[in-house]
Amino acid sequence: MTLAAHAASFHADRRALVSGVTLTVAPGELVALLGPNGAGKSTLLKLLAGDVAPSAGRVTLDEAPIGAIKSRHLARHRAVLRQDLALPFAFTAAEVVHMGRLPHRGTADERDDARIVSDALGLLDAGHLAHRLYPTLSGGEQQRVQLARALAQLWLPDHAARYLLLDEPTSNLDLVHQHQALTVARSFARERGIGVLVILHDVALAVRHADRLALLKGGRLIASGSVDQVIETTSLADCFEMDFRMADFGAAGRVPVAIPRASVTGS
Amino acid sequence: MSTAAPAAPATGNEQRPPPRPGAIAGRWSAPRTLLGLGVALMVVAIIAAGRGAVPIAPGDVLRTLLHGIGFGSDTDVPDSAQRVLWHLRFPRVALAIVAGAALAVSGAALQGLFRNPLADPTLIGVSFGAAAGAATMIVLGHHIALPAWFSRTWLLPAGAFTGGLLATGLAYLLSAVSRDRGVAALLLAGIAVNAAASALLGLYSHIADDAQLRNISFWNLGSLGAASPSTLGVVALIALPATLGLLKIAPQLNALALGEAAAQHLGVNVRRLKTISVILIAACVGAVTAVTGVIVFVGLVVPHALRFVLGPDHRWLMPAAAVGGAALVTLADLTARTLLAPAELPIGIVTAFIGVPFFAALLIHSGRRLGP
Repeated sequence: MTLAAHAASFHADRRALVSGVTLTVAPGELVALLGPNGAGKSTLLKLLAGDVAPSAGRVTLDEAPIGAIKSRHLARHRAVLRQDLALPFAFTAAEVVHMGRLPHRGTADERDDARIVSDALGLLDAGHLAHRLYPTLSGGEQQRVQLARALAQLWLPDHAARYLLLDEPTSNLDLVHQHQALTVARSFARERGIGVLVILHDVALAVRHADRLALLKGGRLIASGSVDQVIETTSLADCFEMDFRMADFGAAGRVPVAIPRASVTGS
Repeated sequence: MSTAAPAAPATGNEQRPPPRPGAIAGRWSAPRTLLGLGVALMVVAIIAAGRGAVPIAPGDVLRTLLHGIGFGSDTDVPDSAQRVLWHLRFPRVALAIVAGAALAVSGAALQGLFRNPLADPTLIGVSFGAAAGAATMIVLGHHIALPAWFSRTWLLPAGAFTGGLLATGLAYLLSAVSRDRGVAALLLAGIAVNAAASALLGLYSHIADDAQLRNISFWNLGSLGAASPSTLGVVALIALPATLGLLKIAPQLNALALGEAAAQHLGVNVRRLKTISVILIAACVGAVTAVTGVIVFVGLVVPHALRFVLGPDHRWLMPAAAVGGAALVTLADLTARTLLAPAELPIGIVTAFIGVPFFAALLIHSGRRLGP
């Protein structure tokens, strides 16, 4: 049971945005996808979400080709948070989170909708925003509400595996809420057996919260493995064309710190 | 929407102290608003049925109506009044109700589909298409040979309905073959088709004689004067199921507010939703417009006004728009036929005159509350 890309490529206007990527996300693990701008991270996430069909290779959800899964069934088993957070109408935060329950409409789970909405908001420290109008929230508050919406979609156990795909869910968040969002995502993965793929820019954040790292550059997967495996190699430096030094914070763990190459003369 | 005013202060104030859980600042309770609008609609409808060349007391109107559906007795209502009610007034009020509900719900659905509170059913070409179709029949209709079973009075509505569907179909096809295939493409295609339909309309106006020209311009301002049991029947047969169909897609329209991709992630088949919405809206607006001509502003102002007070949840917004739209068109038609009696004003003029100030007031009021 995995969400997997098998040698998947995606071409647009004859340009390869993703080339031959093989990557799996298993239930219960958090995989951080890292890479410079234009590396194809969002395109790979779209492939795994089933938004676009691969130009070559395959994408499967629990061994079934993702394109063949009915959209409502798919929506009960995978949730996606993309970067577009704007809403044209003044829904309340609670109403936005409730939209995450749409795939479960008409099922027995629908009874729990109200509780799920308030629990999901509470989990992201956004309970007090429930009755605020979404357009009046700050960018960070909107992002937490949208993340709660994605969590609400996968809240209740299902007989099949579930996957959560997050495209830079921390881009608008302050430092505390960045860690909180990823802590929530990781406990969501562990406790509920949900496979989480998250695109991040902050390497330290990824190292601290992920089970595995996947590094993408120029549309190709240049490294993938456990956090310890990946940070012991030169992959991070190759990927970002920056040097990394490991900073040891004792109990708080070892965290790679990026150093611009121009300033590290003679290293 | 001014018909909602009597019910408004009551529902608005009752919510403040104490704020019950789930209450949103500045929003009215949806069930109470719906109820208030329903009561307002009934009052307006009964008054409207009583007013005209033969005045009939509201009590008599109510008794006749109740007897007609199997309650009470209408023996003390004069026969002449009963005939006027059943043959003229009830069909006209019922047509106003059907037209208002269909137009307002179509507007709400289209605004949801386009994710834009300023969208209007005109945007998918149906209104101007219908106008071009109607103008075709007004100017060229007398050249058309009709089978014996087809009454010439149906020629214009049939032409308008066909024109509306053709224009929307064309806009839809244009958007479907475009590379983007999204909702934005439909908007652009609708603009193109509208331009073509307006050009056609201009051409007909150019070649029309004076009487035809007057007919075209009158038709473009709308009127419920064509109401009769048979026209009502045909419009209701098409517009009511289509309106109910639109009410059913409310949850999907809510999800679409998150964006097309996010709605897709929530299991909404956006392309199918778009197709279904366009067909139902074209049926609603096409059927109504075919008989009444173009009634502007209802599809825009009613949902918009209700969104200010109820919030944007389509599951409440669309039913409220149905009742509110029905009340507005009934009131507008009452005004249109009694203001300068015995002359009749085109209803489009009245809806604009009622709608604009109310809309402006809401805009100013909401600017303070809703922020960006």
